[in-house]
Amino acid sequence: MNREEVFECWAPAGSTWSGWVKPVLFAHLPRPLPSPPEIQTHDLSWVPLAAEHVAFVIDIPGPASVELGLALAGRGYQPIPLFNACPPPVPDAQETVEDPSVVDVTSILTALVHGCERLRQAALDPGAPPAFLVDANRQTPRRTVDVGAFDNRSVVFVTDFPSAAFLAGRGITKVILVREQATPPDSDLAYALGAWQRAGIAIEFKALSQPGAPSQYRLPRAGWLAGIRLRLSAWLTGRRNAAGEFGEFVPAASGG
Amino acid sequence: MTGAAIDLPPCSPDDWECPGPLPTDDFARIRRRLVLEHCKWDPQVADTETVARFPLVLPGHLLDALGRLAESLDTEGEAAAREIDQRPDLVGRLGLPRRLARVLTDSSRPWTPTAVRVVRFDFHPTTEGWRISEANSDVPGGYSEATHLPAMVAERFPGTHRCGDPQTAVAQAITDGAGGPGRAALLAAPGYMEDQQVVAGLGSALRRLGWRTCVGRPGQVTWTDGNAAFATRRGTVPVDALVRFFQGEWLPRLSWGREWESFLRGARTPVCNPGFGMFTESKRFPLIWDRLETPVPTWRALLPDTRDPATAAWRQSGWLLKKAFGNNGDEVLSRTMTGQREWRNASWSARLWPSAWAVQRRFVPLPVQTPAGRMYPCLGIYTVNGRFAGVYGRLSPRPLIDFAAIDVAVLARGHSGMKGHP
Repeated sequence: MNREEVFECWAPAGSTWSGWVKPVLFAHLPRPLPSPPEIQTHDLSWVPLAAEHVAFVIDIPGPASVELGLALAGRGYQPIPLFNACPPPVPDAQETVEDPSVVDVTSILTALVHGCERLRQAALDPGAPPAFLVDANRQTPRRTVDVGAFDNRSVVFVTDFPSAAFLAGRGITKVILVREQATPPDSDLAYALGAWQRAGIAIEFKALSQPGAPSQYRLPRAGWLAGIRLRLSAWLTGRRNAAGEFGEFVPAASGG
Repeated sequence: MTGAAIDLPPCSPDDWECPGPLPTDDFARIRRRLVLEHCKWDPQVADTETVARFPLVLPGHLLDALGRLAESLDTEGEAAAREIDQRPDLVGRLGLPRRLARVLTDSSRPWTPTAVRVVRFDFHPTTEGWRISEANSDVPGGYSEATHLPAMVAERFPGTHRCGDPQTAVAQAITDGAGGPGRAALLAAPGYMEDQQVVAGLGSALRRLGWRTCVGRPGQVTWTDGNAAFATRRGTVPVDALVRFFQGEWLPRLSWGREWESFLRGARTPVCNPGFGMFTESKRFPLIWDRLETPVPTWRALLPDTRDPATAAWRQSGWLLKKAFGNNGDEVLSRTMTGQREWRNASWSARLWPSAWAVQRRFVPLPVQTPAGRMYPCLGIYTVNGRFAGVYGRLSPRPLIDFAAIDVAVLARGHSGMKGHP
């Protein structure tokens, strides 16, 4: 399967949600990929029927996010990959250096490539409700971000998702946030979900580590005091960097 | 502040065409190639598809005329920057961060050599004729959208052609300047895909010309005796050119030390863009025109009346508030078009720190009729080492070009000196 076919599989023509698929990982194909991850089984008894017009945001480590997305495809949901980070440069054939990337996205790309066949078999309806796939490790360095590291951490923005009005226009008024543990999402995703919640979308939470159905979730509202605390903490802990994207409010991009 | 000596081309968007839209399948193919082959990695922003399904077709001679104006702007801007370099008293008026200003005015060290100098002037059709809103002379982007999108769309509209290839023009100029291909490092801030896509696209263009490239962040560059090297896990590799897609005012925040200064002054490895590009990038550049000996008649003819917030009565509706250094339109605010809260915050900032802002008389842009309704065009005209190199088209549903504007293929119909070659 070539790059175009893999992309088409995850962003099929005609699907309401294909436009939101982040293309960057797919653009780095073809490239050598590790073995595919083992297929995990999920208890999906708590998943609402697709006909109930619920959307998902899957915020668990990347390959697992893809895997759960595929499982949800089997239940009628359209998985929408929102992985927005570059994989590291491909080393020369004779080189045997360790992967320099700060976040492992190669394993996500592997899962996407190997998941194509299952996704095709799901034969989803173009109007299938979306399951937005996010990498929970997008800002978590797996190694020291030293001078030689390939820093491919990423941020989720409000604009990476459809608006609440768009969701509502498709009959979606509830979103289920899925995480591995019963811990709050990182602030970038919380901000995006908060925008939905303020616009009237109900947010529920499901921790995979805990049994039971999703429960109502109230996102903390970021007030000005929280903003000051965040800035102060970023300054004092030295996490402030030149681009300001980690540990500080996100300024505008460079490009004019 | 505007002069009448410059001959501006006619400005009648009613005569322009937006044929189409492209059939769904054709557009899907173009979009797929753009995102997979040509590093356009932000084709959707919230509910907005950021690539227009139709082109904007202009007479070739009009695009040539805009290209000549951009060349004049570039010539005048570079000459002004050279004069400002000799007159540090003027730099204080430009709103530069203090540490950056100190380096830019340090004439004891020569400028770091220029790998290529690329500027994008944003032209708008208005009720008063052609106007520019700004010059992007530090980190202009949009190369892939201005290069590959029009090339693919033109194939579907016989009788039209792409006007220039700015991406290849930049890569070719770097190659010419280096005396042939070598190894280049392309730098952007982590976490910003809209920046990383620009360096990825430029990297592809350089590789097509035989370069070896490394992509990373400015913090990976080390300097020894003015020579740059790029740090990787495999070790440090010397580089022959640096493409800095990382805005100049952020450089001082790279470290408390002085390594970052080499991007601007005192180094030997050529860098794109040069540090003196910051002078014309400042929205406060017009505030020093009257004190320059260098004439800037084209700038005076095209840039709206711009003043210091400390002296102008700008809180009326006819003015825009602009951050001295802002890059994607988010820091351009209008009393009538910006949210109340944003306007209030910016107003306070401009009152407390007027030297970080400029105010500019609003122009009334003219719309074009498109298959998606009336939209306001902005034509970003590139110059590469002073020569017209291509056009980056954007359309906005409201009379303000910001992050929500969409990219449109600008095509030429009829004779044009630019036929898609750099």
